[in-house]
Amino acid sequence: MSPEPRDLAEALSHEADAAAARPVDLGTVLRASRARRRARRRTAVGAAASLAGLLAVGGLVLAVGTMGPDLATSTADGPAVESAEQMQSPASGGPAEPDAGGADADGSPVAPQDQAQFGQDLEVVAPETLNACGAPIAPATEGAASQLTAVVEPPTGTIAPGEEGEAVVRVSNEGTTEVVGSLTAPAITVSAAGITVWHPDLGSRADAVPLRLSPGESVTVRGRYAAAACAAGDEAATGGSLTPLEPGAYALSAALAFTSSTDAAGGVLVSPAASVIVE
Amino acid sequence: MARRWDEVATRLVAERGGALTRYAFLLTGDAEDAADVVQDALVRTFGTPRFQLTLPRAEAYVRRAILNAVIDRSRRDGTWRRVRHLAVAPAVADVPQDRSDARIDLMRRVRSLAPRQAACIVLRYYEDLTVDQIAQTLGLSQGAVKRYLSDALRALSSSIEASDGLPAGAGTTRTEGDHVA
Repeated sequence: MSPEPRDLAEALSHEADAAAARPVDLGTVLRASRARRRARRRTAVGAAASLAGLLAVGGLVLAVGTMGPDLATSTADGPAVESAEQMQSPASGGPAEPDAGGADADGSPVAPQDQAQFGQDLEVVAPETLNACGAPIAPATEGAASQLTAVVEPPTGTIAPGEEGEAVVRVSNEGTTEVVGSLTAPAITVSAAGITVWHPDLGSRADAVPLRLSPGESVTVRGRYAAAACAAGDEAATGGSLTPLEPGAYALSAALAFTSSTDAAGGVLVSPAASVIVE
Repeated sequence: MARRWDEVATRLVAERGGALTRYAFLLTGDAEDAADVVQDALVRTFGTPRFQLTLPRAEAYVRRAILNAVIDRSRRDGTWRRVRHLAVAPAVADVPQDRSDARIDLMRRVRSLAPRQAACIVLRYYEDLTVDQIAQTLGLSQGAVKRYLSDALRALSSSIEASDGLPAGAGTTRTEGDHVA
């Protein structure tokens, strides 16, 4: 005698309705999920670093073995100089730069919010290294990722091709608690159709300044930009070698690194894009 | 379009938290266990970066994680069952005395099914999902879902006939299936 579907549905429904299970604790779920993601990211970064180290050592050993003892010194010097250049170049494809393609260390795709700029457990990347010439710009930080928000105030006038301009960035505390820490100068990126066409080389000028914002408070900071065009090959070029931007509509976005003084957590704030006219 | 994982988690808990808890309760039979299982399943789902995470996909992930947790518990219980006779006296056969309470009896039999069979029964007859929807939710093929439903109904039927003193087919035992992908 097989149970009737109606009897089954009724028994299940009655049983489920009688259950007095405690509700899901959303706060615990979110905290535990973040902790798992953080641990996973640490593991992935550690594994990638170990692999990179192994490959570097392996490559060095192979090079020394191939070239022989007479050339060992010059062979080893080559990559070392190259590495130093990469470290000095602000937007080179160094290890601190987040992967614009959105892939995790294990190659699996990750959502933009999982990339390094949103991490609180990793070293905060320099804001000027976030966007590289010719690469897609970093997405704006979403409200849930930080209680600080950054907005570029749209420039009132236009800017001539090749000229420099100043952008005003408003940083606000949208949360319910006071924010205390330090904030770097904004790195202003000029983009066209989501692709970086110019970004600054702040270097040591990106020194952090103290920040204390009560809920609802905001502060304005200023950053400079140029109506000039760069490509991926220009990353190592010095100032003055870039060609002026073609007249047209472009976008300005700001990136600022914030470090909390209460828990040493930090991240890079990225503003939404504001339009600017070059003519 | 994919949204931030914590937004999806918040919406999922707000809109489907109760349904997920009831689903877990129907599989575990214990309100506290159900709450723990759902909590763990949510953390497993949202603690791993996933591409293009939408609300329906997240719910399917959580339901699979709940089922996997129930399968794990069933395995642990199975290990205990295998050694229980060494520690305690055999339990008296658990046949309900009150025949009028058929619903409780039926639920007891549903929970004695293998976890995946029970999950298919719950999704089919409580959530009112189609075979295709069950397959998508649990990450199984439609053929597998049909087989689980058929086996479950046959097992329930055999169990009822056996308790009625009628000739019974194969007895129902809670088997230990593989995890759902």
